[in-house]
Amino acid sequence: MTATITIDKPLDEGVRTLLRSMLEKGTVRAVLTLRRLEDGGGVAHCLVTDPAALAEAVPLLPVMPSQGGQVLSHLTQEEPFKEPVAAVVRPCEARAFVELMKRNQAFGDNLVLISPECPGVFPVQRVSGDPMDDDIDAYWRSTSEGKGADGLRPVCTGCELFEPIGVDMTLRLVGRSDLDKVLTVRLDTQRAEDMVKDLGLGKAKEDGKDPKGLEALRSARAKGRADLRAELDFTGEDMAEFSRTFGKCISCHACSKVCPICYCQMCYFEARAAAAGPAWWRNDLKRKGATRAPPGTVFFHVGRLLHMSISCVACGMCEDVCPVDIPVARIFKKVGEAAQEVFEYVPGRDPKEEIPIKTFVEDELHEVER
Amino acid sequence: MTSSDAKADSQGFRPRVVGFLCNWCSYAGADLAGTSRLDVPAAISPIRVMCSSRVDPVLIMTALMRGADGVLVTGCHPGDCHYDKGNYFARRRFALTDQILTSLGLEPERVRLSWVSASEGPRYAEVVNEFIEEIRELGPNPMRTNRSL
Repeated sequence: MTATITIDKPLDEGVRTLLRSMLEKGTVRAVLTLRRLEDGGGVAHCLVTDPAALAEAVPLLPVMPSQGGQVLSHLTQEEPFKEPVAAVVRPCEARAFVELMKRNQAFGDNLVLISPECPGVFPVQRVSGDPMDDDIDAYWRSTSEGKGADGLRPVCTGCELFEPIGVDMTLRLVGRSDLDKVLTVRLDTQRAEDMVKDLGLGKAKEDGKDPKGLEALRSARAKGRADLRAELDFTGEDMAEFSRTFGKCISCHACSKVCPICYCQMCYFEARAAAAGPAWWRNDLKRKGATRAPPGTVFFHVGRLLHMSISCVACGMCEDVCPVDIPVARIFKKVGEAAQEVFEYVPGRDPKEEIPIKTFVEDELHEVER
Repeated sequence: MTSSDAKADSQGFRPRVVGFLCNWCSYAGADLAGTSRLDVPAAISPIRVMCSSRVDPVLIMTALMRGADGVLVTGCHPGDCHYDKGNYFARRRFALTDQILTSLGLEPERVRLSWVSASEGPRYAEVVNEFIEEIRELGPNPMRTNRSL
């Protein structure tokens, strides 16, 4: 049986109640959540130990100023948390964190993951941009009806993994008509049940049937995914679409800075080994008579696809930060999923599963041998 | 010079292929092809690597973006890897590369993975000749002259 509890406060208020009681009762030593910063304007992931500081917490604000998986990796890459810490992260952030654990960039010990059924997030520019209040009201209205809100990150509209995998608690939001009154929390692990027992937030009940809206969003997302796939097609003749799309790149490499999977301290494409020295551009000039300077702008994207798309969780950070509007995340989602399908791999599905290029299978893939 | 050597065809196309050869099997196989005086075209530029699994997909892409018309990766037959499992990992890396090139419309026919043992001089010559003929059919690599890359 999967148990749920109901907290009689809605959304952010409900999550704050849960987090505050966990902190006050000493169930966890700290919580990681999105929080409005004191000087106004900014919203950021904060690690909080003072329950009073949770007053500004906005755990469900539909933006992703930084990737929670990356944040957790930064916090745990040297050593695991020594005491329990609860983190409210979105499903793609939790999946990125699992990928980082597999790549020895994070420890999951003592980490209690709390994750919402994710209706999607708005582009990160909105955090410092216009007030979002009206849009947020509309966002929760659509969520309770099981519809996608308008103005989300494009990859969110095609995300079929919006229900958390492998977390301790799932915040059940999608398709719930009582969203503005109560918060329903599903306890997915024994650890979560044990923790919640002592919080005095009401008795755990058996999980009810999935609301209709949840099924509606599942099919809307499946359609969204098919639309995204149809939209970007590089398989035509002569690479024209490919060069047109990536040719706009200004080599700022912001996409790799915000990417949770691009964890390398020194990126190959910024290292001397790949630096376009005189030999490189002389060779280019001999063949082409004109070359982009410095060369390698498009190569960077192909290289990043080759290196990390197998673990891409399609969170959409890269596309948000692209200053020249290359649909980076949509491309990585499409190309990454095709590569993941070769190995029937879903990034972040299971921490015990090795990444595909480290997996040994004796009898397979004979179609690529010649 | 041999019949299948890097001679220009009527359009002036001279294929150039980069070959990654594993130290323990395929490089020795290539060596044997040489000492057996078999025809191996000069169109291939062999690069010796310690294991086929050392061939990072990015190395394949570097060769293609910098003007190679094709890339050949060779290693020990499965079961014979000097490091036990290297060639199995190479196969996975290669399958990944192949799929990504396909998704990007970048002619996966220009890359090939073949197993060549140290005793297979004739097979090495055959693989190289066959691959270069395929590349000749495909024509020049468009990335070679694309100025936006």
